[in-house]
Amino acid sequence: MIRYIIKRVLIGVLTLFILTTVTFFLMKSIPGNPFTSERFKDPAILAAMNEKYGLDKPVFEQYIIYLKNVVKLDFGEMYSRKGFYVKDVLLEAAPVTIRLGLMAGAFALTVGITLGIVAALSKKKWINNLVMVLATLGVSVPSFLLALMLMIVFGVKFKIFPLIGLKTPLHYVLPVLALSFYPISYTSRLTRSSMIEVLKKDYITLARSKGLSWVSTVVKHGLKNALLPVVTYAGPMIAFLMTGSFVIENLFTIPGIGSKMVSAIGNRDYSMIMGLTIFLGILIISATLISDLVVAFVDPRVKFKK
Amino acid sequence: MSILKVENLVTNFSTDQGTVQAVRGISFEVKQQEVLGIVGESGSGKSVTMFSVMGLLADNGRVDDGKIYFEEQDISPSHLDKAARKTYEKQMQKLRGNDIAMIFQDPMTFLNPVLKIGKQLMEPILIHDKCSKKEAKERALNLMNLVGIPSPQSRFNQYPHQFSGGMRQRIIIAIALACNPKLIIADEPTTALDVTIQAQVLELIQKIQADRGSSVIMITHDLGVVASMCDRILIMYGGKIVEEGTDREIFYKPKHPYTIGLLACVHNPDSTSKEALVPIPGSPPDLLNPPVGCPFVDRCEHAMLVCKQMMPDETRFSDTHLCRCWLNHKFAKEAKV
Repeated sequence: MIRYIIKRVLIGVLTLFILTTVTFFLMKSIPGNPFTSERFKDPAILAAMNEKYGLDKPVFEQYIIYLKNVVKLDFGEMYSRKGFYVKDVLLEAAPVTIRLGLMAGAFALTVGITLGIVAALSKKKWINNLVMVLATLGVSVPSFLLALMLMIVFGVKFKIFPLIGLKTPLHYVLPVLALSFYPISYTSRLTRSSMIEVLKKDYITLARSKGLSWVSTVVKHGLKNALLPVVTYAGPMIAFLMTGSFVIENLFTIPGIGSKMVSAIGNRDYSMIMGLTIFLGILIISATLISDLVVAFVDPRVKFKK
Repeated sequence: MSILKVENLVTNFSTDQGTVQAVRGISFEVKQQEVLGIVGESGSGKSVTMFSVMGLLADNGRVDDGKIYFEEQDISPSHLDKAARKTYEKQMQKLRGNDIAMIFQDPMTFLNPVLKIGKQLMEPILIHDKCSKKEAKERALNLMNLVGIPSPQSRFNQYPHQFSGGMRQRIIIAIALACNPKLIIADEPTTALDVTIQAQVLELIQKIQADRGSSVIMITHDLGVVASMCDRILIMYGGKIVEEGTDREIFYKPKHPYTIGLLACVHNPDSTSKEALVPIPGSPPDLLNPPVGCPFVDRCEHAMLVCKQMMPDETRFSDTHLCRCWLNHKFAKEAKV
């Protein structure tokens, strides 16, 4: 188990390294730099600025300096706002995004798994069809469209929920709904098909031949097996909820990472882009690792796949 | 007294292609302490018969006719209305694993991969004999000893993938034995095992049967397996019983061409000649559209016109031996089988 974790962490570090490298060079290949704006028209000033931030050095040298700083977890000062440090901005914005992502993830898993199990077990055709229609809708409707519809119906027409910011618990309802609709659909489909598959297995027949009732067979022998793929999906899903909430954050004016990322790219704010990328990378890698560990914990066969 | 009695059992499966008539009206009984062998090739309906008895048919399977009695108690499945289905399910839950237990075919797929062996073994004990976990564990360890698992104490907390095929089959047997069942149904218990393990597992089942005096139904497609251990044998073909008799009657005085064909497929290690085994040509009948007459007619070298048109009557040769084949009819005396 320990060896498995160490191996996975090492792979994670390697992934991060590749991620930073690719992002760094991609970022450098975008035309322009943080100082291509009206304020730095004078070539002398521009040269001075470039020198100050080390942008006059060859790209490869910049990369080495950058890597050294990253190892120390020092992302430097923001280019676009003097006196603001990337670290502070991250510490301020990350909790908001993480909280929102976790809430949406938990909500999506609860609702999705429940719907999936109900659909798998129900003998009534219409329940099954209803869940499947919902699931298909959820996968195909883009989240920004859904968010706008939710805003119009619940925010503007009926004025039930507030629309801007995250001041009270009520503020969370619409963004969480908008964010979790896709994962709910995906989870319910996944749970349903996996449950149906598991209930056809031979060990279910054996469990029934012991004298277990149908319900306890499903709970004791079906559930654990059926939820394995869902657990595998849950980690990355929650991570993507956090990283992929750019649009939702912008729509609801939520001061999270998403809005910071969008403006950082627009301003060619190199340090901010890199800081955010690494942060999001760590988020995704650790979420995947956690869900894989949970799977290894539930499924005894996993540990042996070295 | 008979422990299990099946009368005119009919089991159908509804599929996309139509209704598969897997079992077409068969009757038999199992006496106390008897070992009954049911022999037939794949698709002859032998396993379906047993799953019908256990009430464990797949969702699309249904017992459409017939009666099943366990120790005089009516356990015929009923699909007619919801209440009856519920009562039946309740009744069967008390019997399954407790009075009737089943040993399954494939040790690789019949154990739950994510639950510890010990837990799976204790389950039937905890369900049926309301006892403490500690007592159940003790009994489970004894069972593991009984079926020949070395160092059960440490094996108890392992998972199925840490067991070999033969060891898993022993666990499946131990699960079946957990509550001292009066009837053990063994559904091809050795098919998935290699030959040396096969012999060990058969010996084990035989020993347990002798020690505990339970009745056993042994389902197999291998006459060699039943030869050594069955008191009586049923030969099934195309969802029907074509011949039944004691082991001596089946092996030394077979009457049905199918039985004779099966025996020709068994290798006799005593024979010194290099006789080739004789396969039965053709394939079993399509049970979506079963033949009106004898199901074996298309593969039978003695087939007559009547065989195609009518299901043969049963001919009795002794109290125990009967056969359904027109060749044994009094008007067909000249035919040599």
